[in-house]
Amino acid sequence: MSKGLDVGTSFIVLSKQVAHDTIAYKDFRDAFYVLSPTNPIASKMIEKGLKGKIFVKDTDGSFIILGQDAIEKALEKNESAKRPMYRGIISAKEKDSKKVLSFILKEVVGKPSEPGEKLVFCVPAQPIDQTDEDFDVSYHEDVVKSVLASCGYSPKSINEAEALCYGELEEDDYTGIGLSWGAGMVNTCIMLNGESVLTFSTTKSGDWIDHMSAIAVSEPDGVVQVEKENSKFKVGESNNSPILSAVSAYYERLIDYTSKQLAVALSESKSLPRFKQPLTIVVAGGTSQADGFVEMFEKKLKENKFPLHIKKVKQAEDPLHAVSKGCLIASMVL
Amino acid sequence: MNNIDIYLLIIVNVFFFMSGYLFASKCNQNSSYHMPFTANKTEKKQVEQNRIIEKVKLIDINESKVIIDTDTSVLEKKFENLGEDKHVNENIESSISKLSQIMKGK
Repeated sequence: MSKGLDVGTSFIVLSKQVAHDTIAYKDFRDAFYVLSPTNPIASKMIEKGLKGKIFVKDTDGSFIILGQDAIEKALEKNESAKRPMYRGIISAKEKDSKKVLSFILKEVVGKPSEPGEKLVFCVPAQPIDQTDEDFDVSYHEDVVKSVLASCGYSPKSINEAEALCYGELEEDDYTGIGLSWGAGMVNTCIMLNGESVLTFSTTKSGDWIDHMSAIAVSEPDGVVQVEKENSKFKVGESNNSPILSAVSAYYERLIDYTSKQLAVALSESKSLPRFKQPLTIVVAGGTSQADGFVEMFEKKLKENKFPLHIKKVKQAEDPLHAVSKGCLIASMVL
Repeated sequence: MNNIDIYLLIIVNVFFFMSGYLFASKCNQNSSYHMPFTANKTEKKQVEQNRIIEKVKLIDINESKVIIDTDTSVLEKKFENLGEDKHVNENIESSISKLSQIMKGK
């Protein structure tokens, strides 16, 4: 047996095959919110108020609320929940990021079915649109590996978009392009016959939309995120809600930006093979779920003179679980 | 002008040039101006130092981040289960088989 793990900025998703035609997924929201009581009475009252929520108590007496409960608690105070990950890797900004991420990972993956059970997890590629020296994928990879190994697994990492290609390009004989539109980044993989020939990432994705929209409407990022995920809007179209209008507009800008980056990266790449057939482009990730996303992406690829022939642009059947599924497939093959 | 005059002129010119050179190199030791060639000991030392500095620059120090184990056992759990479980009807065996075949060929 083996497992797949999508370690995402917004969600952590574990996958395992439970029957020949059934996959079990375990999702958890990658967020936390800290409540620090000032006295023992306040501590007891807070703990009582958190009954039924997912939280832990730290050694200093503070309460760390986890997951969706963290987002909701933060919203009550008109704030945004904290994230242990930033742009696809462990956040250097949050003091408790490593501790919280390690805890969540251990809880989600649980105990292995057998000692040394194989577990393939995904990591992002190096971004092409920023040169931040603090962006250390190797360190992130090593921390996650260390946590998973301490649980008794044999961990192995693969690129996030490469995992997506393994999960979604079977019909195309594993030749095509995969774009994983996560919260922190967009990861891209160009694959030829099961081999990854080019991988890279760009640093603007769902969180950028939330942040820019939040500035436009003077609301916290968390408020925008909840509205975006729970309301109907169409990419590129205006909306009665100011938040959703802003979100829709920034979505279009994000798709335009990413398609331009993609066109330049492919045009400049010296390792790009000559594809004999038009290519399938598959998109996945929470950010790709917006209504009108695929149509807008197709439009922008044409406008920005995408250098390869496109057969079709399709969305993964299960955009939130596609990367984890790809990791699971990789764990059984590699 | 006869030959003796010419020789005398040359000797006097050489004498004054050498005097000026020696005088300037002595003054140069105490000033911040650097002569274009290493005629003095101070300049030679500087060149040697620069050579060492250039060689030292080629030596790398390992700046990769040290992984320190994080003890999460100190966090007191206040919940039963974490995460939402979903079972999805999906057959990935053909994907695994196809990908294995492709990988075998490599």
